[in-house]
Amino acid sequence: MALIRHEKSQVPVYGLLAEFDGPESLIEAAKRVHDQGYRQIDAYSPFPIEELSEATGHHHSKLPLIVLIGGLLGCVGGFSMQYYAAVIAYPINIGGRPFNSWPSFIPITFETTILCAAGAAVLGMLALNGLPMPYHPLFNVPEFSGASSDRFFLCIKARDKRFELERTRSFLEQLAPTQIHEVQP
Amino acid sequence: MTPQTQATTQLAQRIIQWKTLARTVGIITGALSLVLWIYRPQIFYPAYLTGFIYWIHFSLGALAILMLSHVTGGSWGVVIRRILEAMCLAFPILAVAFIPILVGMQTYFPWAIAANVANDAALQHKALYLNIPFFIGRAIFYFGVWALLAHRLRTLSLEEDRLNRDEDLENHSRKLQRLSAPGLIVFGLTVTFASVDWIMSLEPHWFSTAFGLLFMGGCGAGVFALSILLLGRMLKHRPFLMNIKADHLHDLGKFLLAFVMLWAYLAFSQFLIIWSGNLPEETPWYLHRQSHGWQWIALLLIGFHFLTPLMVLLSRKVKRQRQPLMFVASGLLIMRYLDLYWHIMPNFKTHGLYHVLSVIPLVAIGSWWAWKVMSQLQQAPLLPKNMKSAS
Repeated sequence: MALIRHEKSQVPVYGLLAEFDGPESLIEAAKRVHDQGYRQIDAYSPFPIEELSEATGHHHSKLPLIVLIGGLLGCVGGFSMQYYAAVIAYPINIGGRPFNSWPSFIPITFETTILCAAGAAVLGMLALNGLPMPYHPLFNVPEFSGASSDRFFLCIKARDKRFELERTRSFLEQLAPTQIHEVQP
Repeated sequence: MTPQTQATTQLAQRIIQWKTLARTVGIITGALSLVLWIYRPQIFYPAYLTGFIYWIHFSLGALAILMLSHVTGGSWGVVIRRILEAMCLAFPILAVAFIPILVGMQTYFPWAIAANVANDAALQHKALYLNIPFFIGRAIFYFGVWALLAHRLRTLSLEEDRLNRDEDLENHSRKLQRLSAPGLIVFGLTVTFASVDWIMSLEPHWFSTAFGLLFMGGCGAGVFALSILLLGRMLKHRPFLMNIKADHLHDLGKFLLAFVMLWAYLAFSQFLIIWSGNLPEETPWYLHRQSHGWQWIALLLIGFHFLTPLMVLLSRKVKRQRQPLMFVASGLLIMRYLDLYWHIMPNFKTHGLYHVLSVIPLVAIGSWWAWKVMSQLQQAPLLPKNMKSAS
């Protein structure tokens, strides 16, 4: 058992890339692939197709949580910074107001909240999608450049648990793609 | 009878039921209000003004959002257009409801009593604006402008239902835009002055330049909350059933969130400016509202007019589902009342306790307002015919 699994991870391909000539056939294929139990799949099209993320089993993005945490840190951090400066480090009497003049801290707290939330959004997005990415195996397939003009692709990655080169290939052939490419890693 | 017309009549019957209910409750609470007015005027007057402002603020919000949707387009505005129109068309009944306020002017407004003005230099300087004839004249002007705008918007909107050719529809929406764009400017000015007249001048020494905007922000939050509630109640019936998508609720939810934030932003700005300025003529207004029990209402407003709806409405799921969105909207409707209560009532009472009888004038005005809105909903198809035209 252990041996077979070991062999499987040795499969020297990144995945199989099926090429389609229209969005409908791509959506249909994505649905069937997902129904078959494949999870490590990705679809590529020249324009955004809304049904596609659903068809490929739209997974929940962690980004909103990252943004929320960034925002909360910015909020607490911004307020603490002002509290530290005005109450602990350098207390100074301004027009008889209390040192902890929280109403006047709110605008800056608000700004640091937005700043940190926006920063977390940008950095979190880059961390999650892995950009910038100078190399990607898909570009080993010359036809893949068609994904930005008039071709539609569906890729099943080799690291999927159900992936077996020949079985997966014959399954993909049933979905009537115009071509199937083996993607070198 | 086809299933469609049958279902439409189902909703029409529901509206008739609501209307009858509103009229019955209106007659009873109206009579009770009259009794209250005669025997306990000191309770009646403040409660009546709060109730009046509460109901007119929905009509004002509806007028603004209606014009906004004509200027910007978008199918969110088309699905609630008839609801907004019905609310706007309640201005005549609100003008009648304004009469007791005119009768009680000297109870409400310190500047309306000659003896007060004679002993107060500030009031003498303000008398050029704050005097009884000018006040009445302005009120007539506001109601005239609002009713006229509402009437014209409704007429044009009904006319649109009779058009078929794309070209005509295009020209017609231009016409609505040409009315709505200047209409919004007129709205901004009249509502600012009206809020100064009817709410701010209750304490004539106090002033804040953000006040009109703050009131308008509240109008926006109020009308979206009420529209979501009404639409939610009618959603299961035709013609809404097939035409309202989760996207529409999502848009309305986003607007609700935006107005909640706008309200909070303006409310806090006003507070911060007065707090930083720390001037003796400005701070007493807040000091009074931060003690004697009023502070609890202020904290409720921070918690449930801002923090809770902000956190809940951030969720995409909540905005796209009828039940949770209606729940948030109902909560905000209560908060809208508390906000106005917190603005108006401290001028008349030293402590924040709610007097149970205050609810009578609120319900009385509300019932007659709802009766008028329901009558208007009856008189036109609940969805504009050319739904696509504005989307």
